[in-house]
Amino acid sequence: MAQDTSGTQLVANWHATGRVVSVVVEICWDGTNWVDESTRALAVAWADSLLHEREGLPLLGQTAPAAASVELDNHDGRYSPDLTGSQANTYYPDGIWDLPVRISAGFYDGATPETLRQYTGRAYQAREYETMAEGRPAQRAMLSLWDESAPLRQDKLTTDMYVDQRPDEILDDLLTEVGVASYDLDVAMGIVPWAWLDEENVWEELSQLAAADGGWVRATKEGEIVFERVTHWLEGTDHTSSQATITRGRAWRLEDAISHKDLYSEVAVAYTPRTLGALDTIYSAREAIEVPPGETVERVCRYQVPALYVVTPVVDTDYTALRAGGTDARADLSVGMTSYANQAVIELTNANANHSVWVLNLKLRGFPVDAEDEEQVTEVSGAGEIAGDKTYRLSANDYIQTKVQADRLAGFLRDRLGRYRRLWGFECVLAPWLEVGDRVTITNADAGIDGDGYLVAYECSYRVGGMLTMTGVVLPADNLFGADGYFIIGTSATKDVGSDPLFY
Amino acid sequence: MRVEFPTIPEVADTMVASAATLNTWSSALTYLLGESHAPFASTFTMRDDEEEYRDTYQTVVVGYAPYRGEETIYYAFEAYQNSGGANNWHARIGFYGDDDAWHWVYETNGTDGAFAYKSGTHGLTAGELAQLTDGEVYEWRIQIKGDNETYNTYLRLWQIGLLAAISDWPAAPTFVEDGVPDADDFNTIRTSAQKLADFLPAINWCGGGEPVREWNHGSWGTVQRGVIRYRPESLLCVVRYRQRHGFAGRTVRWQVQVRDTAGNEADVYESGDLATTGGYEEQTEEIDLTAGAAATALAAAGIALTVGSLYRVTIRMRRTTSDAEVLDLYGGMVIRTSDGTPDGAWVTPNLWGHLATDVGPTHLNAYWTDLTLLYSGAEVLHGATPVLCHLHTDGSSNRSLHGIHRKRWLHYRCLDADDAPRLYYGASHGQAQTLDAGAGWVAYDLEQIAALPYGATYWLSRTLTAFEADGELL
Repeated sequence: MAQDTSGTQLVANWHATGRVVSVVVEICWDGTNWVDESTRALAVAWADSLLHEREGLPLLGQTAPAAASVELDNHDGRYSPDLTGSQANTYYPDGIWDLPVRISAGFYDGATPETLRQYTGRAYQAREYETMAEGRPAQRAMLSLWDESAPLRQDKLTTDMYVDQRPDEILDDLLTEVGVASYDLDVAMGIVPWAWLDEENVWEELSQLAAADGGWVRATKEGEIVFERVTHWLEGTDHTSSQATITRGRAWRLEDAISHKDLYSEVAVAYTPRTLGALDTIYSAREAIEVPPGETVERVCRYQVPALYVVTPVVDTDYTALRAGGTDARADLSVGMTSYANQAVIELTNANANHSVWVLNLKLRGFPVDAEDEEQVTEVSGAGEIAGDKTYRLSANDYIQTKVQADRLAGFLRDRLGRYRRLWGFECVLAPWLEVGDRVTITNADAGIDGDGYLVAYECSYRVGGMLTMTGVVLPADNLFGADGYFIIGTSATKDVGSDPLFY
Repeated sequence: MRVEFPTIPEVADTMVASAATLNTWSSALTYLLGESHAPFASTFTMRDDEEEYRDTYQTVVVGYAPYRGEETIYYAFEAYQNSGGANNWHARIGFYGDDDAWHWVYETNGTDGAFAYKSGTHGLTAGELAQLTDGEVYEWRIQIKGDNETYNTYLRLWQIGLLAAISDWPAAPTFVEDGVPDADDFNTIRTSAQKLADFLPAINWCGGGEPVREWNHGSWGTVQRGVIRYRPESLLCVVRYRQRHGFAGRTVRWQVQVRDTAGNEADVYESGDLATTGGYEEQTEEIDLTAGAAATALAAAGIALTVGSLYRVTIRMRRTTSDAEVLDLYGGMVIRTSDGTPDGAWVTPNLWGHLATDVGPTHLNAYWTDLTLLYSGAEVLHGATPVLCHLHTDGSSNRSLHGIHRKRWLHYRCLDADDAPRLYYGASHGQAQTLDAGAGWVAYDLEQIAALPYGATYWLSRTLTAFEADGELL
């Protein structure tokens, strides 16, 4: 979503023939206060993209974290963790890791700098090095940054079973669970019948859940995690009306390329229905478990299949307990359980002060959530822009479990992939309010280009004394969806004939 | 795998409307229409009148019902005392709560000197509700007594049960030509459909049975009585019998009677003379109550069938020859059925597709038309879960429940924890499956019986009470 420029002259100055740039780099050393390090920032670069590096348009939005780098003047060792008394040594004596950094950029309006946040992230690496500047050795530090999705790419979670929830409802819960304070989630279109995490990477699962609805999750320039649903680009003003016009007058490079690899004659979306089975054994211990006298032993029991309603083990039914020598020890043992969707943590407590208790044949019973045979929905493109059969098969998403989900995904993917897609490239002065997904206009009379598209990738850079530049990749809006406009709830008028059309 | 009410996504303002989402509304409506026309077995009522003469409460009927949050019970029975109006009959209804105590939630009395129909609803108190847990099955009882021991008090059960409620039924959403409805309008369809789905009984009950009766008379002998909640248009009735030493010349007849709560009774079906074989035999008849002889008989008896009202159905049988050989009456099924024809006002919900441009009042208001029919019109759904009763004194294994298979799991209580029930199914119910025996409630996956298709009828022996549910858990 394009950033708000009201109350500033950023747009006017961007249009002007000349402008004075302002770049601000801030670091939050103590976790609370942001310190302006701009005077030491020699060069900054940042980038964001919705284009999947390898898969391209089919996996739009499922991308690596936005990256940035900041080159800093380190003549006094401020960024050297090993230098006693330095700023880095004070706060990060063991090395800079996960250091909050933010970058803002814009232009001066007269004497007043006007900037917008360009990047919010964390330094995962701080490389110190010596270089030559003006013929003399110069100490530098280079911070490499990830955006605010990065911490979630490290987190792993184990959850209960989510039943019949929208992806945004699950995302809401997961983001809260991992302590993300700021997020904005579109209401998803579909429902995921069964979802769970079992020590799985949070970001990967967030992305898969979003993708099951045709959308994506990403971190914004402000560091906010957002979920944008499949129709997001058809709804908000930032995506339905142009936020900037890139003309030859404002760009020093415009290019046009056709993406052949993203063209398919048909799309096949696989889905795997799941059903709740009958009460059954979902875990069996493979060994006897010794619980020493007066001790509690904890076992993590991973089920054979995910399950709902797991029964706390019942003596004689789900386990037996005895001492060495075969004496009954059932009275000495108490069993507690914390169950999740795909594992349970069993606590076995031995109340006997002298004898170990051996727990034999421990098993867990529950109602398995069984995966049925995989089904598939296929949509054939009628655009006729490719000879022969070339099928894009989407099959690796466990959250696509219903035909309704698969129908919708196959429909709009067919529209996206059934035609050759041009990718317009440009290079210009940074338009600081633009974010990925914003609608922009590209005009290049010499190339015959005059159209709108979505900014799907950009790279920005600035070096002291140099230009504040932006290179971008724009995906033309024409024919990207089955219609240019759809029926929007709360906006479109109901008509028996001639209403705005429905989406898939 | 089972037929499920669809999960309907919520929509939000500024969201693009999706054909798939709107189609879940259509799917929800057709699901509810199917439920409106679902077959149900009749519930138990006594074959013969039950009487007590004591001045302290005596249990006449025992039953079970799963609880799922209802706050109201309903009752329908007939009672009187033969004191000629001089004294009172008393009746009370109660359940055995989580606190291992009986809670007599409703008590009433009267001086009626002949059977008088009593019906109504009664709200459960907070204290009573506190002793009921969602998803658990509770035992209910009906007790009667008189003011003194001099006169007899009589009871005929019609039906008691738990009554779900629909609260906050919304106003109709506004869909007009060139109007701009918001998400609330759209979501009203979703919410209302969901309310109706939640309102439906969670179980498919098995009909009560009576012990096998030897009938040595040429007069009509009652095989089975049951109570149905009427919806157009038919009754599926089955009678199972054996004429000992039967042969072609030793014939029998059977008939079906329908009685309303005012006491009017009509013979809606009577067979011709049926030759016998000496073996177990069954007769099946689906009787359209809205046409032909059945409708004529009902009209002549002054019975105007009303959707949602209770009717008592009796199956009777007799020998038509005077030979003294015994006629064994093994049991009868009474099942309410429908041919599925919706009410004339029903509008088949639209199926939407990508790029559909007819998102207008005609299709959108049809949803509300149908929802209204299901809520309060001719397709009205009922949130009544009857207590599945049997006589308190009836511990006989020589009786069969009956059911029509609609849900996957059969939950039952065995008459004897060590005596495995049997389920008879197939043509003339000639195939048998031994179920699991056990104490308390036992759940059996009916999908294990490959030759028992959904919609098929069955007899169930050696069980005290039974019902089907979608899940192994309630």
